[in-house]
Formats: sequence, C-alpha cells, structure tokens
Amino acid sequence: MELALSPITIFFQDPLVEDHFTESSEHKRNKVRRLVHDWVHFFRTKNSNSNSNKIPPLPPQLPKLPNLYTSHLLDKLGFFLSIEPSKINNNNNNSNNNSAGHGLFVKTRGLAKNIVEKGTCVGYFPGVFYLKEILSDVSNNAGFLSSVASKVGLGAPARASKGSILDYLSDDTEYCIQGRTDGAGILDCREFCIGGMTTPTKQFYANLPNLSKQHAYHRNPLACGQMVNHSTDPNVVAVAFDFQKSGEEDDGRLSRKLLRAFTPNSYFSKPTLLGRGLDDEGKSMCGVVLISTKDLQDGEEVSRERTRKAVVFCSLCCVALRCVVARFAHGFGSLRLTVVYAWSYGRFSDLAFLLFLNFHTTCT
Amino acid sequence: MKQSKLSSQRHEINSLLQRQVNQQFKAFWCAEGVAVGLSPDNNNNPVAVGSEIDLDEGEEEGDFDNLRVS
Repeated sequence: MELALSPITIFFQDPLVEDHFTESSEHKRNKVRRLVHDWVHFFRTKNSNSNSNKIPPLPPQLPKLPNLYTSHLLDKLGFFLSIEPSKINNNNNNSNNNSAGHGLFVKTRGLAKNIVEKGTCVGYFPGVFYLKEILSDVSNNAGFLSSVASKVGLGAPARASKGSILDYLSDDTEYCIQGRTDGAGILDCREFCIGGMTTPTKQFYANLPNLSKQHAYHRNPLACGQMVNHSTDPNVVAVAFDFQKSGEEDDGRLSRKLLRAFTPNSYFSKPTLLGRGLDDEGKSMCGVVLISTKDLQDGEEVSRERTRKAVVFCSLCCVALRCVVARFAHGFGSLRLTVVYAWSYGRFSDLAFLLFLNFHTTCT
Repeated sequence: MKQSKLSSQRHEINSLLQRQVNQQFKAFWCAEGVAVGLSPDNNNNPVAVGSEIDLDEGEEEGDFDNLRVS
C-alpha cells in the first residue's frame, strides 16, 4: 500500500537504497544516520516570512529517506506522521487566510482497520527542557525581575535584561513553548519550529556563561509534536513523560544507547541534588509526549485542546511570582518570611534553596 | 494524601508509556539497520545493531551532557 503523496511523504518514495550496494558498510551507516538526522531537524530551517498570513513554505532541501526505512517503520509501528497544510480553520485570525498553517497527519498501514488505537503514543515534543529549579533561580532572572519591578513602580527604571531566562522564554511568537502539567518545568520547542525563531539564541547563550549549553541530538522521526494544531474536537493530549534510564525488558547498555539516539530532549542545565526528587532515580530526561484519546483514522489530522498557552502563561506567572517573593525574602534576609513562603507553596525544595540563600547572605 | 495519589497515578502512566516508547525506539533502531541493508531478522536482536554505534570518548553511557548538534 502506497502512501498518499504529500509535501513530506513524497520523498519517502525516492529510492536511495540503490547506492547502498556500491558503498562500504560504514559509509552506508553514516549516510543513513545523516539522512535521518536531517529529517528530524529540518524544522530548524528559518523562514523570514513567518509573520505573514501565508503558510510558510516547507524547506526545499528536505532530506530523502530510503524506502526501506519508512516501510520497515510502518510495518513495526503501523503508523507514521506526515506534515501537510492543516485543514483546521483558525477562527481567531481576522485575515483572509484562516488556515492554521501546517498540521500533523497520521498515516497508517499494517494495523487492523487502518487505525491507531486510542492510548497510543503518537508523537514526541523535541527541544530543550528548563527545570523549575532553573526557572525559579533568582540569579538567572535578575534582569526580568528588574523590568517587572520597574513596571509596577518599584525599583529603578528597566534596563536591558540580557541573560534572563524568563525574558527569553516569554518571546514565543510561534507558540512552541510547552509547559509540563505536573510543574516539572518548561519545554522549549522553538528551535524545531517551521517559521523559525526570532530570538537571538547565540546572544542569549553568550550572556549566560555560567550555564551549560545543551542541545538535543536525536534521530526520532516522531518528534514533531510542536506541529500539532489546536481544535475544538481534539484527538490527542500532551502528557508529561519521564524517559527512564533502562527499560524492564532491555539490556541496560542497549537501552541507554537507544535513549541517547532517540530521546528528542536535553536539559538546559543538569538537575541538582536539591532539584532532583527522591522518586527520580531512574529518570534520565524530562519530556512531553502526545497520547491519542480517540482512534485515529488514516489521513486524520492530529489536534489537541487549546490549553497549552494558558498552562505556559500560568507557569511563567507562578515562576515570576516565586522569583519576586524569593528576591524579597533574600533582600530582607528574613528567615521567617522564607519559611512561611515555602510552607504556603508546599515547595520544600525552594525552602532548601532559600535557606541556603539566607545562609549565604548571612555569611557574606 | 491527594498528592501521593496523584504521584502514584503519574508513575503508573509513566510506566505504561515507557513500554510503548521502548518498542518505538527499537523500531527506529531496527529501521535504520534495515535501511543500510541488514536483515530484518537480525534486527530482532537489537544488540547486533546497537553495537555499531559507539559512545564518544570520555562519555558515559546514558550521559546526555555531552550531546551536541553536529
């Protein structure tokens, strides 16, 4: 059964496998790895016309995957994801073009009745994960706090807040920042978004010399969850998921290699001992996955509920509020205020952090 | 009490999802092997394919800190 032709699936049909009979095995392996890597990273291509009403064109230099790769994957998984112009109307858009841009579609093959059963993990969100301990760290957000304080009439006029993580994350014109519903942190998918990221990433990282720069390197062909549109009749839901270091039925070494190759996320900064929970022993990475809530038919567009922006906004507001309170507690040096704050929020990791902050203030 | 119940539910969902994710990762791995001409039967043993990728020098297995965009 052939896949329907689409802007993305067209190149599945292109036979590159014939070259493999004449090349060395190592060369062949590297070539396929390179192709898969390019395929999952084609979202990086920048598009300067992202703010226009037209749908941004797909990058012309799409990699071509071998037929054997996709056919084997379809046989094993029974489905694959395709990116095509969305069929969902964007009613909030007042312009003539009401299309929601690109959308994610399910292509099935090999499953009974050609459906993807509900409860299936149909996609992953790629990107850099910001833990809550990084977001709530006052020292990372000094510029953001200064601008907030000046806006409400406190403190000096706002200065350029370079190096603030909250400032960096608040610039989400493409709606590609994903908040975890369990409050573990925020996933930044902007780097993988068609239309590009307007924030000067290199400048941002250059202003944070003390924080390690980590990028996701993955070859996960289903990691395109950031392309899912929203609708009033959703069929998938974003679920917080922790990648484990080793599976139950896997050899440990292999499992770690699989994780390394196909986990589409990376930490912005490693979790500290204070930030790491007691139940996170086997966790290797925080992530977000898409789970189907209905049976998905062949060619059906994947859509989710319109809650993401609210969740991210609330997450950022909570983090900002906690930063402000923590800064006041730090400024006053009041241990009592610190304890009351941590107790009221139920944030005992924050309590430990603030106690350290007060101790540090006292000693210096 | 409510917090612990939510936590246990989250663990349960996570473990259920982990099996699916493991199977999908194996399928990705095997598909790459098939694409380079290996037999699908051999790919049923993922160790045969997995041994072809070596970790970088100084990198521990499962260590995500050294990952870089090539």
